[in-house]
Amino acid sequence: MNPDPIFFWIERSALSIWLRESTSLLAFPFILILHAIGMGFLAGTAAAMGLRVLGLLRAIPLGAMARFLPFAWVGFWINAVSGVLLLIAYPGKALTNPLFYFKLACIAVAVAFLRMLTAGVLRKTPEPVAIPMKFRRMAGVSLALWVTAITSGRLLAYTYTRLLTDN
Amino acid sequence: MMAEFLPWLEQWLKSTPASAFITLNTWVWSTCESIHFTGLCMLYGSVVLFDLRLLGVAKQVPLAALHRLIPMGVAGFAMNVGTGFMFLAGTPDQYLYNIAFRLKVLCLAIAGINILIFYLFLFRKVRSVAPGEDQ
Repeated sequence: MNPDPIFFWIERSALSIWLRESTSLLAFPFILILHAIGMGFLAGTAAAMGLRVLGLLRAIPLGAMARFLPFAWVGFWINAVSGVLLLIAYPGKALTNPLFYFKLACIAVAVAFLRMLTAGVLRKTPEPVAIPMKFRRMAGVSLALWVTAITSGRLLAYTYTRLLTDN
Repeated sequence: MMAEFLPWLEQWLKSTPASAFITLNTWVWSTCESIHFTGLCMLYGSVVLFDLRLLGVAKQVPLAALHRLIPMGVAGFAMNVGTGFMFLAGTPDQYLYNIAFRLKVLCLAIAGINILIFYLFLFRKVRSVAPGEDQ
């Protein structure tokens, strides 16, 4: 099925046109700023959790460390919403780029790992004395996944093959 | 003075090897951007979490222990200064005369002063705060 009519329909919506064409800083620039701040909170907090699981901050009780987790989820939701808005502005630009799906897959796995680390280690009662190797590996892989997601996200600005359906 | 200094700085930046490196190789700019974003996340994961703890979030976390994350923030900041210089050297005219860039540099300067004050006068007191002591 050719998705172009769907892209075209989204592109012609009032919201899409406003996001793309408004000269207001609240349109596209502000959404991009939000996306960067959300990324900082999500990947940054997740990285700190990963380092704790890997053994860098042993002096911090796991349960205490878990108190920072809500900031990761605030970052996640800021980026889910701002990401959808960026998609509405240029639906075909990302959705026709394989790299976009690779980025989403990296984020999906990294977020799943963060949830598994939360349940299995960070919020586990009683606190595990030794962190099982399975979770340490998960923490290490998720650090690499965040860097990969950030890199592929940035490269989306250079690898798209089309901007709008009209073109 | 500014009227003479900025064009001079612009010319100097353009004459650096970094400028030629980033403008003549298309992959360098995008790679620097990815590093710049990763550095930003490293700052959030260390300095922002530490600041949140100082503001009263997660009081069960011992401050001295959380401070062990700061080297990650320093590494992130160093990555961002390095890649930031690359952008500046690549297209100095895009930044030097831009109000947003000037605001960013001003914020960085204030943040630097803030760090200096923190380590000179406050860190010794903060360091000894035990978990949950600062109710």
